[in-house]
Amino acid sequence: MLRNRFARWGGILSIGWRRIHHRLGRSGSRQTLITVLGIALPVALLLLIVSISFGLAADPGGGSGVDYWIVPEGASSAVTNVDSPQLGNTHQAATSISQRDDVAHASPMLIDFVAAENPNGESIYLLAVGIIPSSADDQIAPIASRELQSGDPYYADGNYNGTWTGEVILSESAATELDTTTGETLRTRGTNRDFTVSAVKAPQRAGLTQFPIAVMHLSELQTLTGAAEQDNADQIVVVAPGGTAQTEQELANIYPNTRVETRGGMLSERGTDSRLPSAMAFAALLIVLTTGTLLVSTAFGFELAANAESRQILSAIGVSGRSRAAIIGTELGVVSLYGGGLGIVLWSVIGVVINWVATDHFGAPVASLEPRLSLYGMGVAILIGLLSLPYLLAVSWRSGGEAILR
Amino acid sequence: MSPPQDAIVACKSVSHTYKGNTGRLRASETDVQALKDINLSVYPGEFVCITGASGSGKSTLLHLLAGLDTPTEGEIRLASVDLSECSGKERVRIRRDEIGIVFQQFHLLPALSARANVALPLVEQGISKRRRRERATSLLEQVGLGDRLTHQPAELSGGEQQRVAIARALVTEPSLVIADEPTGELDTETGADVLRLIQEIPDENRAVITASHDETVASAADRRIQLRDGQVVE
Repeated sequence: MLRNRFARWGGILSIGWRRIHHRLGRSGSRQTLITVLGIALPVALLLLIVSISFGLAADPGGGSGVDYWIVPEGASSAVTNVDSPQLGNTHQAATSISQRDDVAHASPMLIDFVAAENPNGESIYLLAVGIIPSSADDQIAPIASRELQSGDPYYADGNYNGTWTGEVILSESAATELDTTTGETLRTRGTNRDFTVSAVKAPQRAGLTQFPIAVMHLSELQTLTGAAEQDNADQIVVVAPGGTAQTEQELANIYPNTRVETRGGMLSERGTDSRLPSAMAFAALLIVLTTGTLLVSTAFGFELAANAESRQILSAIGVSGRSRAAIIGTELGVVSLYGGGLGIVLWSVIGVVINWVATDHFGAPVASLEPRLSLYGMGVAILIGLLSLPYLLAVSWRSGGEAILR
Repeated sequence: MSPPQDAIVACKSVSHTYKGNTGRLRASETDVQALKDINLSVYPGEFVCITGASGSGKSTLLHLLAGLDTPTEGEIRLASVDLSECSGKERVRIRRDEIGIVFQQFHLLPALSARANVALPLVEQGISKRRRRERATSLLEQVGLGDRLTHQPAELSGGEQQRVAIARALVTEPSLVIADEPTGELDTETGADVLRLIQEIPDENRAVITASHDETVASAADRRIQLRDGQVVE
């Protein structure tokens, strides 16, 4: 009995498989090809929107070298995230973390707005990022910090009376707005501290190119913003390429009420806002599901109407309505898989081109071409097929009568 | 009087009316009575040919005999089952197990090979792939297409396609084979070959009913039933 069922359903699926390949290949059915494109194009569009929105938002306060971000509950690792809960006594905590065998470097990161003035008296607000630079890894800040002196000389074991380096690295946007360049001096408004521009660089992520960013030593920024009193910072970034789940667990236990974000999740690598990319991706998903379902329903509906005769033949020779529906389901499933596959190929090719153009123009890629998005795209393609199926079965039922002996 | 029990298929007082559906007119004003009071029995071993002009009701009668439609009046018994009382699902099952149909325009599935087309009705019966292939191969050899097993319909001539269709109609070993104008699309010589095959189908468990304009087919049949304006006239 079970064997008979396997034989029957295996045969039915095989018929659907062969029919759709015949239409895609030898007979070159236009409607079937349009159906494949009707899935492929929305899927490619969706994946591009998702990868660009996450790509632009990617990379938190740290640069590409960071593996873990310790942030207070309720705060985010976004580089634009200011005025959120902060961590205290951060120099000591970072020193302690740096002493672990599995950690290459750890640095507190303070992010705040600072008003800076050029020699002509023109001033703007900079998004200042304070870190403890390391010669071992200069990729922890939004802008590479190679030109900053290693360590935090002004901190002086908590007394904030060491050597004031006055070094600052500016983003190209900040330098342009302040009309300054390497070697020139800036003054912070209100505190009247002088800084020398050590370098002007593009941020490591295209999503931050428009921000006027200044990277400096942590203790000097703490002094400017009043965070020195409690040795406050917004997060601690940790470079630990060989880190394990245990590393993550132990980092989470250093402070109460904190969480550890890892490089593993896309959402953990956000640079601007934690909800916008998700909201964009969700909106794109809804639009793509709607347009994809409408396209597939229309194109494949025409195909079914045009092939009513073949279903009438199947009915006349004793193929049941359920089996005919299964054949349509199989055909739609195959079309969905091919549409999804083609969509993924289109997304990859267009994404690479977009990244190439973005790198050429902005110095950094904009699309995050995560391989895992392929699974997402295939899932969406299958969902489009499933959403179209009830309508197509209704079309099939209406157009697949039994009038064949004419 | 009930139809004879040993008939493969029996019609008793069968009438069929196509309902008009113009939307604005009352249905009764557009109804078309296609068949009127048909009484007919077909017995094992018989080859019956239904003849008549276009519009005489031949196709409608074949439809009803094949269970593709149900009569508006009367009863049709096939394998001791009254088709007019059956649900659509039951009629599909009866077609699968008891009826083989040969169409004028062959109606093979273009995506499938000759062998897969012949084996198609066996899929629905849950027959294993190996047995399906064996049975289809055997039948194709019987109709002289042993060397065309893997050819697709587009690669076969009209006569070859009709022979595949005949093999498909016989693959489930049905008690009734219905052939609608089986030689209508073929030239004289090929039509004669196909007719010879059809003549060989009836046996002690099986009958053939065909509808044809072709006098050669009608002459070859054991019995001719002439329809005119939906009624049997001879």
